[in-house]
Amino acid sequence: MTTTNREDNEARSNMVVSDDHLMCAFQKGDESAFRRLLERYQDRIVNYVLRIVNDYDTASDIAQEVFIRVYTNAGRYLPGSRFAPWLYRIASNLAINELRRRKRWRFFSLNDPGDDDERSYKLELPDESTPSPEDTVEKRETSEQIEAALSKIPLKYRTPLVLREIEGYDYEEISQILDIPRGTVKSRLNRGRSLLKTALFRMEAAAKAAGPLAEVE
Amino acid sequence: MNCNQVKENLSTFLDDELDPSQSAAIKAHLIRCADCRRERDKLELIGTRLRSIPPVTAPRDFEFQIYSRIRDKSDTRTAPGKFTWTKALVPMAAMIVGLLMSPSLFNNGSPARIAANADIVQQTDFSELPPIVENMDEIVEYKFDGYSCLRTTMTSTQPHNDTRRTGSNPSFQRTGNVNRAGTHYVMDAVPVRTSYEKIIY
Repeated sequence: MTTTNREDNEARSNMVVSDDHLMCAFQKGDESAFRRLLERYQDRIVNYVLRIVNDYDTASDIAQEVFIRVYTNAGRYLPGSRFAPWLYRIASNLAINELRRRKRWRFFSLNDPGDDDERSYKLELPDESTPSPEDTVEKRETSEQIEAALSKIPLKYRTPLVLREIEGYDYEEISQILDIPRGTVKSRLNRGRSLLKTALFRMEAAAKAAGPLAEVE
Repeated sequence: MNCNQVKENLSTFLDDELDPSQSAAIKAHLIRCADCRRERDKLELIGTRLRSIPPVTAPRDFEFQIYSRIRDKSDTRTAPGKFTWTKALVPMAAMIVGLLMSPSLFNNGSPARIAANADIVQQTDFSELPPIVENMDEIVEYKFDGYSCLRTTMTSTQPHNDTRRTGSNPSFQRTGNVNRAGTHYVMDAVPVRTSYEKIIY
């Protein structure tokens, strides 16, 4: 059984200081509290943004900016509220802005066809210097397939899907993070899953069709 | 509930976000409808596959980069008359448009060429270094035909795995098209205890 990032994190955090406590400590000037929050969430935020922008370097840059915003706007955090949705809301806004910026830039760019968040997908090439063992090849292909399919569905469906399925947030929290009504969360998740299912089906059908041909070649 | 109603609510049912009466109605329907069960299984599989995507980790110098950028921002705010991106936005936009008109832009990544034509716009002295870096000169930001690049010389005790921003990677021609370098200080791959000079786009 696979678990969401949130479940993993909560299991680890059960015996440790709460995010809210750390954030309040940071508001009072405890720099180490910020470092602990950073340590706790940096991988999760990089992963979340990566699912939105489909590029590791960009995701890392945006994730850095997310924590810089937390650092510089710590005063805006309301003690007693939940830290993670606040953090994810900052990440969502920055990642969506980045995609909008890319679209604007593509309008001017002569050389770069760019990567449309709704049309295309830049598959990460495996690192040739570190070949994977054969027994992981199939798993990697499956994972690349779902990542590629996910990147093909429109952003407004992809973001709630990632928040629900990978990050483990409930509808109310997704509604807060994305600033959309709960009913919209429900309909977008429904539509997102349907689109993802179709995208996966098409990719798998295409892979099967290419199989015998590849063997002949 | 009929099949259409069930399929419309299946996603919410799987998320356990339906009210108990609707949830019970769907459960009852699923017991007797193989078609809807197949649909449920497909949606469940999608969730399982999404959660099985291998996670990535943040770059090793993630925290260092954050503090560098925070320090830069605070330096920029406190130094009157210092270079800021907002002040430079209009001329930069004009330069970038001009740059796009020049196909030669995308073939001139050599450090020497950039150094010869560049103006220094900002110099940043790092008092704190990440553990892998033994010493590092100040990071100098150059302006070059509407581009910016950062240059530093450093000695590292360990190789670093992020080489994606190097001039030898053809992808810099794509990533270099928008100037965001002012906030990026990326430590590139270096062999053990080897001094090197690097242009960072």
